Amino acid sequence: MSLELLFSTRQFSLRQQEKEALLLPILNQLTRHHRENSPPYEQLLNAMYPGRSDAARLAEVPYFPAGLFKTHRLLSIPDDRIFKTLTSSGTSGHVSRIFLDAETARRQTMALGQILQFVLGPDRLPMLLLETSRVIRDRHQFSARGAGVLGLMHFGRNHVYAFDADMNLDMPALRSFLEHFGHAPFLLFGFTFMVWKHFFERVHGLGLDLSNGVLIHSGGWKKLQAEAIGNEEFKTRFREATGLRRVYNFYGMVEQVGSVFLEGEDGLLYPPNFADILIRDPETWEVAPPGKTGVIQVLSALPLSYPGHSLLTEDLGVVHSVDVGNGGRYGKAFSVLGRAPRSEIRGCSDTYQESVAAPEEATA
Amino acid sequence: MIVRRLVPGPVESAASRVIAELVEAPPLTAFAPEVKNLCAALSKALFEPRFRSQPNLQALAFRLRPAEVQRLENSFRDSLPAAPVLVQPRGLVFHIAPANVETMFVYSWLFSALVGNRNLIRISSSAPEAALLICRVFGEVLAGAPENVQRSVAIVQYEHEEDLTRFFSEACNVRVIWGGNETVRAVRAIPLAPRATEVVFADRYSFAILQAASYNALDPEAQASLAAKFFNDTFWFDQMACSSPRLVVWQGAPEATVAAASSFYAELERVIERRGYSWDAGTALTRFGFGCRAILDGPVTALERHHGRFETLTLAELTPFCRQHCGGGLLYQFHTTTLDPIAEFAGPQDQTVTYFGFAGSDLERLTGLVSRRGVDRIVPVGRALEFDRYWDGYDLFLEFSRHVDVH
Repeated sequence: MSLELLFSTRQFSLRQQEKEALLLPILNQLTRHHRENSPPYEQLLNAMYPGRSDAARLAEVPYFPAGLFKTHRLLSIPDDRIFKTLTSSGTSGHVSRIFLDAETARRQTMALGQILQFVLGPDRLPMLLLETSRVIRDRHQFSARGAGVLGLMHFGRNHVYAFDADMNLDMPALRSFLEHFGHAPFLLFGFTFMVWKHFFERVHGLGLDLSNGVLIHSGGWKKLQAEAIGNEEFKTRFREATGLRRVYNFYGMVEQVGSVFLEGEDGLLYPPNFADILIRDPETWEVAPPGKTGVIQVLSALPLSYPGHSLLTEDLGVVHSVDVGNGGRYGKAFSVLGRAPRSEIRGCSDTYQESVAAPEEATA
Repeated sequence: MIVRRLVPGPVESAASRVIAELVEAPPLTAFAPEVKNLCAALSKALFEPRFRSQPNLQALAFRLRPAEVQRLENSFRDSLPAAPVLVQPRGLVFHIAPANVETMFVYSWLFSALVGNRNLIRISSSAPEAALLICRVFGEVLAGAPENVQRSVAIVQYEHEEDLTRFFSEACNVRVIWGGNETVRAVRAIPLAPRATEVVFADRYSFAILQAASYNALDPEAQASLAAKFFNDTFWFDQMACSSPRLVVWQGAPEATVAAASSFYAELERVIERRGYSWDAGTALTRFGFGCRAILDGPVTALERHHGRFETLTLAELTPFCRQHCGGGLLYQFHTTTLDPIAEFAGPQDQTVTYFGFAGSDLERLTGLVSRRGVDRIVPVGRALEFDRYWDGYDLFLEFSRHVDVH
């Protein structure tokens, strides 16, 4: 089975053309599978791709907005096969709901393991979670943060949380962890913003030695933009203050857990063997050439229980190069530029907008 | 209470002073030469080369030309009641302008000023640059007008201060509210003086009806010209103006409507490309998401993206159809052999029907059918945005004047 082949082949080693040839039949098969098993997905295909048979190239694989999972229940399994439900940590009130069966969950774990092995090696490392233990509560309804933490915990051992329940730094735990494991490779994991605000800003003056650490972090840079902290600054400051040199950001989303795009030593993101990205020009929806910014479409061979193998995100990105091979990584090298900006919608219907909510609430 | 007055100004002024100055201004008669001269001067200023790239300002400049104002005056005089009824202005008109259709407050002012009223216009603190630009031009031109005209108008800018709205509402004789339903509800909760009246422009929906055989019979040039007119109707305000069509109904035999629609949309794509009109990524994404949700929720059988220029959603049936819309270049379409489904569809929330290919008794039948339960304007394609004395079912000259019975 070719998905297993994509797993077992050394990650990031496939040249773009080779990868597309392996990925395309799997994605076509997934399109057929979801068409047969998800009536809403079939409705979308019929309305947008009438009479379309298999895609002849990745750009032709049907795609839909990832945001549909926020408003619609989209799944390709009967309810009794739902193994767990993932939700995004949306603050806007709309939350994505992703339904996993056992097989899709297995694939996600497998996938993440393959990707992380590339930077962590084959052995499980002692793991310092830059998190509070509170993040994992309900094991059936995980928040994106909780799911992320749980997902990554598989790949470490001797787990220690760096924060107590009130998000205070647990210094004794931290010191004891470093005492035991700091002399050999160990793993640190957290969300980018928290790693910076709650961890780095509190420990950078303490002279901690993290030089044997490998930091994996994710969650986006948006919240750090205000403080003018970008990826370069992040890494430089960590290196200077703690000796930590191996820092890997990754780009991923709850709609495609497991298929994460891991940063290389060159600071660019790389798709694993079983996933890819396309950049689409929002003015034409055509695939944009390298160097041109557009909306990121993510493709993944993993989603079997929900129609999420080809999704248009709301993020802007740009492909910088293909098959350059920096640090043994081939395929597309890209970066994420943040959310697509939303201009103010014009209309004759918004004289008072905000003031309206207040009186309505008052009368309720 | 202090308010920022942009015109005349800019100056910070006591709200009571703004009102006092307007109330004490010398009276003006309907179509007073001084007001007509102000319109002409404003038109001239907006026709200056620096504004040429802004079609909405050009359209406004066009409507303020002496010939257009004369047309309005003729229309006003033709519909005057027979003596002994005398027509006088109502007094002070308070306009709460829409935040984002930047030229609309000028039209609102125009119809009121032409019949001799004094006008107080409130624009939003978050008004777009284009609206502030119009205010500056308005202020400059006004400075050259005679004193009685200068004193007849004030433009103030504030955000959500209910106290100001309350104060101005108590002082005015007519209140004009431009807004969505929520805005209208919120402002209406603020009382008016007992004898004051109100003109309300709430959320409306608009659609186009195109006769397929007539379109197919056009030569290519005329087809392109129709698409260009439709573009103006639809895209000038990013499809967020209430009178911009959001649904296109194709009437005719099935083969004819399919042929006409595909040719028309290709023409429309070319117009959009030629005009260099584009959407930002966020709007394009919102539109795509809206389209996909419409497929999942409604009787939508096809979503076409026309190379990213705009989107069409084909409806299998018209009646159980929600009028929700995201703007930004999304058109529903419905093909029908007869006009009957439209008669059932059209309702009180519908404002403007733009049509093509209907004339004589066909047009009469169409207007009869669509206006039965709603629809306040039925105009040819290309004229959806032409603001005129009859709007949303109102006769604005009538709303802004008072009839004095003389015996």
